[in-house]
Amino acid sequence: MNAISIQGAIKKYPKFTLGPIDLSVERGELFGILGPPSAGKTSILKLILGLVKPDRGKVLIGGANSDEMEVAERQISMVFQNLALFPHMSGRENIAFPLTERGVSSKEIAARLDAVSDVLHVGHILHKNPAQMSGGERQRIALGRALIADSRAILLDEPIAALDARLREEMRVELKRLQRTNNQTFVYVSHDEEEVMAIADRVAVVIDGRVAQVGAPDDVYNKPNSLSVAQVIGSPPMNLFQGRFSADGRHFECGDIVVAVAGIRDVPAGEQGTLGIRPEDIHRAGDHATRRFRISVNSIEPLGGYTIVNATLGGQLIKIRVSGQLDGPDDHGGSVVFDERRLHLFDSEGDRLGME
Amino acid sequence: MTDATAETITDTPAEPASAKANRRSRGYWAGVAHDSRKLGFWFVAPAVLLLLFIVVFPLAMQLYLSLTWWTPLDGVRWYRAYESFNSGDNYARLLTDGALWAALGRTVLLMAIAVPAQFLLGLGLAYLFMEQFVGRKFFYSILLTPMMIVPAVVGLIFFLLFQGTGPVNDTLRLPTSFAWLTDVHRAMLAVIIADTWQWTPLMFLILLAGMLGVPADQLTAGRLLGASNWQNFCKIVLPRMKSVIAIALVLRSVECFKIFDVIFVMTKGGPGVETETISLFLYKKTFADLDWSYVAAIGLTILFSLSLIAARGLSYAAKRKG
Repeated sequence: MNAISIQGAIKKYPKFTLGPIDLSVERGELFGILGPPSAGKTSILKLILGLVKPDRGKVLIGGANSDEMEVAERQISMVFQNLALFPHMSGRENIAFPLTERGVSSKEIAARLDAVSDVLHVGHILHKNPAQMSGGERQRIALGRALIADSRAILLDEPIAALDARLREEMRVELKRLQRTNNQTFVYVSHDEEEVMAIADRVAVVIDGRVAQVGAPDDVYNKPNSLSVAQVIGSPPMNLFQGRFSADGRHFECGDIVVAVAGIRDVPAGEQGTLGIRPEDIHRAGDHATRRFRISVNSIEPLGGYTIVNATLGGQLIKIRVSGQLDGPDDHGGSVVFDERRLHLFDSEGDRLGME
Repeated sequence: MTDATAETITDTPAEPASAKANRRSRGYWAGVAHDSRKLGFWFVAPAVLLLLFIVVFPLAMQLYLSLTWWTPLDGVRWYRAYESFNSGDNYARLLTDGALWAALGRTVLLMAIAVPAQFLLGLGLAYLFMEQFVGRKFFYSILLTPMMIVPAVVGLIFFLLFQGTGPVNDTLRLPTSFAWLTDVHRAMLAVIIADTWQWTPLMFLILLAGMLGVPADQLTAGRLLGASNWQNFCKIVLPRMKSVIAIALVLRSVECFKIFDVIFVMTKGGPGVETETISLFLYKKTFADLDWSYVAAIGLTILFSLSLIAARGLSYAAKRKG
């Protein structure tokens, strides 16, 4: 049974309409919701929490229609972006808050507090107030408060956005470990694609209030179903070339750039379209390479494990991602080839061509 | 990199010795513009002078007069008041002045009832205004109106309301002989009602600002974690408002202690001295008895005591901030 299911939910705001949203989150799944800022990600969480009611459609919690359920009855916890810890309470009081509010006996509170603090390794900071804790410690306390409530699911709204880069990496590993250890259902929302892709079992890409694509992170990355998803997923972003399919439907042409589109079904011959190629799928042309493209290198960003080459191809700025570091300034200068197995083609409506 | 740094450092050219000598020759004022401490002093000087004139001088004069028997009836100029120096007898006198202590007691009684009443009413109203409802802005404006009215006018309004033939008796179906302002038991109650009517809005305003300052996420978190609205209010909102509450109580207590206009218009301190608070007592001592040096001693003592209480209250508020 699904832990959470949203069916055709629509919520209208004065300047924004969310939906229709169709999503289902399985029990024990780490479900990611990814999208640019103001896309409607937090609004989806509010629908699940019951903080807003859908104008149409419904939200099922544990298989039951949640229309008549109060916020607390849904038994869904949340970790807020700013954590929303209570500053006048100690770590212990913060974590135990949901239990004390429900009138749970102090003996049971102590037992569950011990269990949660063991999992989160927070036993040594329970006496501190949030102001005396580091960012990572506060994060753990907020998670503890969500975990101790024994909820159906935990929603995490950009929970590690405020941490520094190193701590973010540590925390996302920690989150995954916690989710696996407790077999908890997590709904993880972020605009940071890397963060969501790294830990989610499945991802929903939300753009302009709608779910543009749902799938495993690999699928969403390798087979974006629309131009807008292709633009949102990937860092550096996918290189896009607007052009036209040849009259015989065998080629895509964008100025000097001509690529074969053999093997792709339903090519709209003679119509406009877009070719996408990810930065890591552009390679230095070997001596015997056919269909090579001349580029001029503008700048190079050595980032340690990989290097970003900013270049111009056919009058358009492109990015090339190269493993490791370049041998010399002329490396990747001159000519490049596209990995033709990994081309992405979109029709004039922005829909992916050749999708299974 | 090194070159660039060196260039930056040498960007500011050294002042030629001739310029320094030239400036020195033009004296003190030529140097002020180049000396931040001197410049700061001259910028602040007018404000300091003004403060000296409006705060320090009257206080010093009051202290000086309080140590003498001087009254305007003597025909001696105030600066020659030292001729009747009394070694602090005024301060000894105020310790044993029954009328003064009775007035102080009535003031404290008024404060002890009016301020908590205003606080509870303000808190209740602020709690209601935490939620959005139709007409919220309208009622908000209406609620704030009383505190905009001149206190003497408030006194007049309640003077009329509490007349035997006035609307209060009429509404409560009381006989016209039922006196409020001339009854020894009810006059103070009438004053407290008038003061509460006027100043509950200020409490409401301060407390609402404090409540709205509690992050919405924390209240949502409370709701999600099973707290009812009331539990949220008691366990999340109130503890976070300690400093705001302290400031509101200190402000209103100090203001209530100084109450004058409303009482002066409503009862003139009567019947008898039943509503004579410390301000009215001082007023009578000043203008009826012309006992100015004694009034100066009482005024200074009250100022010192109130400052001490307010400072304690505000330092508590500062400690609890956040």
